[in-house]
Amino acid sequence: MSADIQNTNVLIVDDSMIVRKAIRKAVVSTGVPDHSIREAANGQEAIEALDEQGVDVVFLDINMPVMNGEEFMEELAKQGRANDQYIVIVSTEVNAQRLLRIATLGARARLQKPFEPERLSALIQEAAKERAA
Amino acid sequence: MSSLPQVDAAELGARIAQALEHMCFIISDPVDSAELPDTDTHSKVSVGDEHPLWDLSVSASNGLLSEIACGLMGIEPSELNEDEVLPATVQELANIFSGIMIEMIGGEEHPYHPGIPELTPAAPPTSDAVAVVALDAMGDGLLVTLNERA
Repeated sequence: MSADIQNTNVLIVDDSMIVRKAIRKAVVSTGVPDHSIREAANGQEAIEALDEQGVDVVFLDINMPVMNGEEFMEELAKQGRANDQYIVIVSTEVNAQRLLRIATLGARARLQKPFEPERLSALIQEAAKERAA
Repeated sequence: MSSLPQVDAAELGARIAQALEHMCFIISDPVDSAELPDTDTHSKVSVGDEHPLWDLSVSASNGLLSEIACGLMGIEPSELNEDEVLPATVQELANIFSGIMIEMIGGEEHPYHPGIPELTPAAPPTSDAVAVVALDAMGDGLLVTLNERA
């Protein structure tokens, strides 16, 4: 197991507790320590989590109450810190125009729900390597 | 006849069955909705563009929801807080299935999007639906109905 993975801090942003736990399970299986994973139920909570602690990888849903994933990306971009984390969209969203806009704001990868845990694992390894480089 | 895109119930059912298999290795078969095992927990999500155009409803037996939740979260049924998890699971199914439906009706090009899933006390009558999917998963029932907004 690489040190990069063990030193990776992850934030999972989804209004569904089920999805947060499913992503957490997949992330832990890659070697990220459970205590390095935080959860937020919407974009507003995610902003607060980022303010409190450094995060390397964010798994971000789009369709959420309070502040959705697109609004979260807009807020990060406005603050000039959208590229401070490796952001992976995990959503049912399929609209090409909206996904392109979110990618332009700084999202690096996308997993469509229902996602395959193996794909999530590959992404977090890629993100950890990139962050360590 | 409605001007909205039509949803092929058989294709929607096949895609939902495939999603269940991929997510948590649950095998299901299409059945007539009249022969569907009882469902216990229900949710609904709107789908539309600037305005809601459809309601997609999901009803499932608690046994199936429990199996899905355990599969997704990697826990044993004995560890499950059913009061919290089963409603959350049926809501997430509504979210996922609405994404499948949107993809089927050209959502890559047209900005259809789902609302936030909510719990409902019962499934809507299938007689009013434009598409009905009924799946039997080893004796557990899953009912998905699609209704156009008036």
